[in-house]
Amino acid sequence: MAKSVLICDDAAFMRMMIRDILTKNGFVVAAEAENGVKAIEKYQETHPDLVLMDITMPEMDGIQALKEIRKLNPNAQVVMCSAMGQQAMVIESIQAGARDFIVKPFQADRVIDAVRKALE
Amino acid sequence: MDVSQYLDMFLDETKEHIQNLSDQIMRLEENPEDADTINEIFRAAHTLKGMAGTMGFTRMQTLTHDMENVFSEVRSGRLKVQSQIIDVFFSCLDALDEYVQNIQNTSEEGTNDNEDLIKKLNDCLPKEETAPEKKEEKKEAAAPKAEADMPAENAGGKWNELKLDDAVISAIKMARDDGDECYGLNVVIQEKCLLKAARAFLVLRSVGERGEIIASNPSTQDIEDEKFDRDFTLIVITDLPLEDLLKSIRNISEIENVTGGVLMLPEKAGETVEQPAKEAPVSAPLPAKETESMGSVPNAQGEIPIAALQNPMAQVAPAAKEETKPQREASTKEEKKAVSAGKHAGNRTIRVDIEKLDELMNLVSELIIAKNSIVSSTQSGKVASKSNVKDNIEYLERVTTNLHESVMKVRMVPIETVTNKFPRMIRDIAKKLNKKMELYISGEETELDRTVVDELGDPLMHLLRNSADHGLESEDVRIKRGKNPVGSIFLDAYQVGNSVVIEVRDDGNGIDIEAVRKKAIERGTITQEQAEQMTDKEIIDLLFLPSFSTAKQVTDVSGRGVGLDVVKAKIESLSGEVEVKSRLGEGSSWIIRLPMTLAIIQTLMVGVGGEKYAIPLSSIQSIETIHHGDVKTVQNKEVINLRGIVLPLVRLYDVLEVEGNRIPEEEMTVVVVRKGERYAGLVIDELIGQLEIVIKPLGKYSKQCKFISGATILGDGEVALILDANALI
Repeated sequence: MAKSVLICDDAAFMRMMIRDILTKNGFVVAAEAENGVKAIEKYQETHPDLVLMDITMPEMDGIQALKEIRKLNPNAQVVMCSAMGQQAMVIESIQAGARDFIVKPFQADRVIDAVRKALE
Repeated sequence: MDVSQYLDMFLDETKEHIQNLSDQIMRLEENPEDADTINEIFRAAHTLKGMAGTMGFTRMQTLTHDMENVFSEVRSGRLKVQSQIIDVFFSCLDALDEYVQNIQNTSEEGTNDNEDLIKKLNDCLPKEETAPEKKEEKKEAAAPKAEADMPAENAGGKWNELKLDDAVISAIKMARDDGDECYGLNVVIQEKCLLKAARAFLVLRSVGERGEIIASNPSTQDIEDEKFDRDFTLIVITDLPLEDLLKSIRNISEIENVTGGVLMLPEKAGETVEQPAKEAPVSAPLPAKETESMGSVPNAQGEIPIAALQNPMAQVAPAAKEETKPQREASTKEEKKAVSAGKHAGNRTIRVDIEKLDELMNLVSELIIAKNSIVSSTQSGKVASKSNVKDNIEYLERVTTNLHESVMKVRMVPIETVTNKFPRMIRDIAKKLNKKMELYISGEETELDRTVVDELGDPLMHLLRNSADHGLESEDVRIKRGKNPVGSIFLDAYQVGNSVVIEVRDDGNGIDIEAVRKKAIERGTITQEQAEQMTDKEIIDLLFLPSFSTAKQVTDVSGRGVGLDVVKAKIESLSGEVEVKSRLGEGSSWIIRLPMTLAIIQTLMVGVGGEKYAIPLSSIQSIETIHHGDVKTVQNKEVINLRGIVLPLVRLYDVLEVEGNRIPEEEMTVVVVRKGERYAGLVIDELIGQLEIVIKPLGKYSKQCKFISGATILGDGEVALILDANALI
């Protein structure tokens, strides 16, 4: 069965790109969320195999959402989406249990590589 | 990766973010300490950077990156917001706007690097911190590089060259006695990896889950601080086989290579621990190592230095440039193609609430049901009962009405999309004119058809500028007149029936009617006698004539002669109207009335000379029956007195040049239409009824007759012309 991914990014444009990258490579997008709060909601609703989580978001940032999701499911697979200059935050999220991270601007093969590895 | 398909969305969202930035910076100007605002600005700049980077717009990316940097400093409290920063930021927004415009027109961001802006942004950064750090960073970056080149050649046994202190050695021995093994691992990270420290940290965590890292080169702290080039070495004690470790690391992204092997201790046998002679050489390098890491500690603390942030950027920019290069070459080769691609970029998208679409879908399915029941009720073999068909038609009517409403709703956007750029504009004008003013906007949620809203920006902007420049007095004049030194401009939008009213009001000087009168005579627009006869209202209307500007001084802001006439033409092309109310010394207000939608309207169908005409219901005031004897003649024009208002009578068959019922009758039917505060009575032959019609433009033919604004096709296939009541008055 195709693995499902929850996309979480405040930019609709980014979500659409990631969605395209994922669906073209045979993954299913479980849901999209535009902030951390929504991400948690959607996580509970859809139980995706993987979460792609942006770090900088309104309402609740990605790190906080990651922590909450890991509380709900200690085995949750979360890959962070970060930008350059967020090293400290990426390290913090790895400490909080993020499986991997990808750096914007995205390369489609990097996204897929990270998603595949995280789902192995 | 082909990103052109995301261009529309990118543009839409980028514009939103730029708008948001503009709003937030305005807010920040009033409230420089507000943490929420600062966070929001940081976030918006950050998001823009990510989006621009993904699309390959490197200049835009660089600019937003530097904007983000400045706000990162502000956020951490190291930098205070000053008016200078605000100004630089507004200039940045303009530069971003320019990029967006370029992208919209040509799918390219253009070639403006905005170096001066980037320099200004960097000047905003606290200097004493950035300058030395940058140098240090460079030195450090250079140092490990030389180091790393060497071992890369014999990477195989790198771990065996690591100097270990005896505590580590004894730990290794104890572990081996317990049956665990000690391995050395050398991990090489891919060159293009951007956040190496974070990547390495993933490796450390993964290995740490499977064993104990007892030593590393560089130290784990240094690895976390990104003080290594591309590879690092770990010494691990674990009870798992080596292959498990290697596999877990290989499963991490962006790892180029990992090698590992059983660690060989400097002495092959294990008895060296107690040998004092060996202690000296082993511990000797230790202090040296300590001082080395000590030296970098101050730098390592706290957040990542700015220089470090800039460095990876610098590396990425040329790479991304190269990527877009072939694309650019292709576009210059096939310039014509590029132009059409540019047009595509200008395609308008509209974001629709999913609920509205659901509603549409729902109505369409109802439409299908309605069709089916009509089909079944008229199928051969069945006797169609008249009432059944009628029921179905009623149902169909309900569905189509709702469908119409829903489709209209989909096309409607709040006027906010144009009004939200005005606060910024007023701020700029206020600075430029050195006047104090405040803009109050209300009703920005009022919705209008998207096409109307798009066209509305320029006229509104013009009226606002007009108010700011000509309307509002300078500060000292205001104080002299006992007014609030800060001028007020209001923009109110609200819905009245089927139209939307937008009012631009100011509490400034108002229109000096005498000055306009004088000017008009001076210019020869009107004669002295005409001027004396004209009412104040008519004089004000002169302002809408082409090239009529009363500003004594032509300023940058307004008064270049193109103006109110353009505003009027624009609004009228949107089937709207402009009206002015003014009181000298108290201010003026410009009232724009617009139909909510242009495509479908409610009309009154009338018959004139055997032809059918549609009069828009929105302009009809009343329908009257007038006795022939009530018609008076004033100045050779027929008028009637209707409840105290004298209004001119327009015999439509004369105007439209059709055969009409010219035989004087006892009574005639008059449709009273209204344009602003003026009325006229249209004499018609017969009333047919109210009808909802779809407006079809007549194209260039309709220009020959200004009383006709379009045509529509009636249910029986007949064509009816739509009368433009405004033109008849």
